[in-house]
Amino acid sequence: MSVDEKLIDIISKMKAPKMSKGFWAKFDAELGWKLDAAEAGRISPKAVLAHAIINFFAVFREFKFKRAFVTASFALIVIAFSLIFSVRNGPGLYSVASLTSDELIEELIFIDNSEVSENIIDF
Amino acid sequence: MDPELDLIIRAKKGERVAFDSLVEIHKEKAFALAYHFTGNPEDAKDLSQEAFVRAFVGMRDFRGDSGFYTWFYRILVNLCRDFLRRRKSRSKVFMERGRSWIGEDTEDMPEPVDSTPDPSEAVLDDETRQLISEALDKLPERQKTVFVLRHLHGMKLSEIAEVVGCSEATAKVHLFRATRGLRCQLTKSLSI
Repeated sequence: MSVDEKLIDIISKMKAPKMSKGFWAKFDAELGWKLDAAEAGRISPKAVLAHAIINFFAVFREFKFKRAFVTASFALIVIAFSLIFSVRNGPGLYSVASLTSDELIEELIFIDNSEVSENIIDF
Repeated sequence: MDPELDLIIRAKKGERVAFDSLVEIHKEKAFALAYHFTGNPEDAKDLSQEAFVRAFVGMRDFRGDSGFYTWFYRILVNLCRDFLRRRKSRSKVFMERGRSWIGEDTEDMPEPVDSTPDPSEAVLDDETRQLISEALDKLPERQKTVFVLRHLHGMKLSEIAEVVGCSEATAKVHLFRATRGLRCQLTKSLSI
């Protein structure tokens, strides 16, 4: 037997004390009163609403939700940074349909004068 | 049909008698678990009762995707962990059974324990129990929880992961670290 196995074997013998019948009778009586009170409180509208709210937020404590939340947050961060850097480094992008006639003419002149215009096919 | 499953279905519908039967099935284990966290029978009694009350109130919302056992134990373990956190912030000294309770009212003395020896159970002497208790208390909360559930309550790692709210791999790591921590603390004093 390894050291760990011996250690676990010893520790696993550490049982909880065996309580007397009197203790369990008191346990049952007290729990009975508490459950009676809970039963009476359970049907009140306030208790129902409070319980619903608690249950809603309890979802966020579950491990599966936490894992999904972390994954979604990471994905959002990646997308946000991609957008930020693409807007910063690239030319400002905007819809041509939003331009007035004068602005459109200016843009066409700009394109015509810029180096890339050599690559634009003339229709 | 599994008799406990039948009780769970009826308790979900609000049948009090069915819930009382579930309490009867689980109360000793619940008390034992709470005792392993608190070291105090009175606190263990209060915590296990509180866990049953919360389970009773939340029974209708129990979805059944985990067993009742793991669902209920999750409630109980969370209560125990909250209790330990509150206790750490207070300066209170507690001792094992058979000794006086310092800082407690004399009216709250623990209930008498059934001292009839059970020949089928190997018994640890008080000194060894004290050493093990102290060593467990020195472990970080998560490690202690996983170790107690695994080796004192015989739960599977998958069940422990559900109760504690982590993955099975994480539970395994906590267990490994707890065992290593206890080995460092106890090997010499227990002469292993």
